[in-house]
Amino acid sequence: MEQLEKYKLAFVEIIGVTEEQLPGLVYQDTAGWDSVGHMQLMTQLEDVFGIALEMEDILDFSSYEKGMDIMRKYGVTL
Amino acid sequence: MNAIATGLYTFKHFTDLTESESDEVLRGRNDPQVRRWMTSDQPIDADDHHRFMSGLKSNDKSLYVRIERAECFVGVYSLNDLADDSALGGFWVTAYARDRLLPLNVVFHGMDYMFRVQGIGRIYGHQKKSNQSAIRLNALLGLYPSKTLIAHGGDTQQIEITRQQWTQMTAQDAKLLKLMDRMEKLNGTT
Repeated sequence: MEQLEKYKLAFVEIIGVTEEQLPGLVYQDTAGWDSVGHMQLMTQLEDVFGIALEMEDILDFSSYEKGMDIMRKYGVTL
Repeated sequence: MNAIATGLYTFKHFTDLTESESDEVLRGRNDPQVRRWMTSDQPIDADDHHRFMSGLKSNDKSLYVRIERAECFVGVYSLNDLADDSALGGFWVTAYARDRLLPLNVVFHGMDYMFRVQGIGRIYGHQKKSNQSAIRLNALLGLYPSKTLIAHGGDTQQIEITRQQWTQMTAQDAKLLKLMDRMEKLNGTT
């Protein structure tokens, strides 16, 4: 599975949205992406990509698109 | 009773708070970021707050604790309707702790204090079937539906967990502990 697919799958599984809902998705915009969902999403992404996110990036991870920029900083090809 | 500390977390009963700690509780509870998650989103009047705090001293059916993490106020955990070793659990988490993604950790430690230190036998609560956030948080903490409440139009479930379930399952859930540990490390100890 390509890295973009893994990235999308993490959102679909943890946040509980469809792939079609991902573009423009913002933190706390949907019930599934609350603080607990955010923590679960971050740890899932760390596990899937074998990275350790910095606190600053976890707090900065405010949307689906912003998250892609942050993932690229850690060498994830999206 | 003075504050009881378990690691980074400290618990102080409302009946033992200083005036400034009590005022900080009121300010925290009235923060718009906190009120939006409460059943009633109206701010609490200072006089009502003081009456409530005074009333707790003669109320053996309720127990409220102020929770601090690394000396910062992070939330409140409460037990109400205490009877037969069971109680209705409740909590709220400060905006400070929410900003640091600590709500799960705060609620976990509040429940852990009630089970392990206070020795409560069973905590129950209510959740709406449509409230995904509450359902996920409760499930992580081992609070599962025990019955549907007809009085609430069938939309509300009673959830509960016993001390045995807490100590043998939730408090040893490797996935949950890893998730919380990640946030503790990220937040550090100061």
